[in-house]
Amino acid sequence: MDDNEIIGLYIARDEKAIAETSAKYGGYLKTVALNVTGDDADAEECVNDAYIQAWNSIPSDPPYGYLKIYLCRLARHAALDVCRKRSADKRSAVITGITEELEQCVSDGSDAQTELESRELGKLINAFLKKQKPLYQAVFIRRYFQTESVADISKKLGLSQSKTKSIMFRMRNKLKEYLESEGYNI
Amino acid sequence: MNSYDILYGMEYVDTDIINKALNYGKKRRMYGIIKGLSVACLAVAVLVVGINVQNTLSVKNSDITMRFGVFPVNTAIENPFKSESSGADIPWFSTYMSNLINKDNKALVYGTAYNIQTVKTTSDGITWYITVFDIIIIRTIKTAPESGTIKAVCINYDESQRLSGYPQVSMDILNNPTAFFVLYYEPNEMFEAGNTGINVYDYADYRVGGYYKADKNGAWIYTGDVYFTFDDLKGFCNNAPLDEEFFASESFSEKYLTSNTH
Repeated sequence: MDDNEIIGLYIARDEKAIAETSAKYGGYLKTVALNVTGDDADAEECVNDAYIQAWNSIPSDPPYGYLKIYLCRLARHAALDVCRKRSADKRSAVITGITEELEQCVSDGSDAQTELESRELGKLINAFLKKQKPLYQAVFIRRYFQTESVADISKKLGLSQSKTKSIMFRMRNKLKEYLESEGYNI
Repeated sequence: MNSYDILYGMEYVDTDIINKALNYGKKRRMYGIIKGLSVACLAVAVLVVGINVQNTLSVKNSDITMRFGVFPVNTAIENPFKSESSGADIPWFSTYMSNLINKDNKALVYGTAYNIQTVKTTSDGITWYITVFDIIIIRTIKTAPESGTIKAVCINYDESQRLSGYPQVSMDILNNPTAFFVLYYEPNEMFEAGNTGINVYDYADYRVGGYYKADKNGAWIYTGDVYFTFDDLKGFCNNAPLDEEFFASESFSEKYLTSNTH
């Protein structure tokens, strides 16, 4: 079913919306959530949370043209919440690797920010990404938005793993410099 | 701040950037597949020709329509989307492109660019080039008007004497004004050129997201990922100092602009 038709079901409060969403994007959302949580049951729960969120919010703000990414954001957010509440030794290998990498950019480990601060930080990351080459954007988004493994990214983009790691390393350094230049206390 | 804040912050990255990033490389993979198919078809064509020659039948060059790595299309105005040999959709058009334009905010236009005007402005040590032009529509699919003229914009930026960013098509449009343009139609959105404070949608309804030009063999070549050298734009724009005030107070097409009309 076309994305716009699925959105139409949400707006019409038709429960088929969930089934259609699940049929079209369930597998993808599960993969994203599983990458973050590393636990099948948790991932399933995150995906269900995403459906509930979508059910509640789509009618007032329909994501025409970007349903997939919208759902990915919801599932990913739920998965991050689950992961953050866990003790460090119970986190998935993928998310542990990713957070360790990002400590290269931000290392003070202070408490979580508010949503507003996350939004401001997101704007800066957005502006930073706009200045990067398409290949670098692709690697960064796949790794830190879609939480894909280095091996998967390399395969999909036709790069060696060392090249992918090198791009990620450079991007993290540049991001750190950029955030510092914007006055972010890191 | 800790690393989780970065991960949460990633949720606020523009959908446009995420889309582009997640689609990056797909076209190349598709080209690879198409190229592979082309080689196979060429081999078959050669075999067929060989058999024909062996059977002493005369074969004209014009009988062989498949060429390595290119896809001959009919560039006639009335039907640019069809293959000249079979009348079928061009392979990449029927798959990748139809998926692309299926999204509400995309349009595919076959047309001719004119009144091409570029200005530059600097922010954070990076020079941004903003190019606006009109497109006379020949054919269109979805979102864009069926005929007439529309105004489009594309941006480049200069990074260490290389033009990059997306899309990198300004110079190519000058040289090949009649082309397929993949356009984003998001007139109520904000698309800022770097940190310049300039919303490119203030100057055009459509932003160029890709560009296909016809090569000398009649094939369509995607140039959205092409990187141009810094020299390409020399002489293409003047050195007028531009800032937000300028954009707020002056018509974009007046006074400081270098105009190139086709």
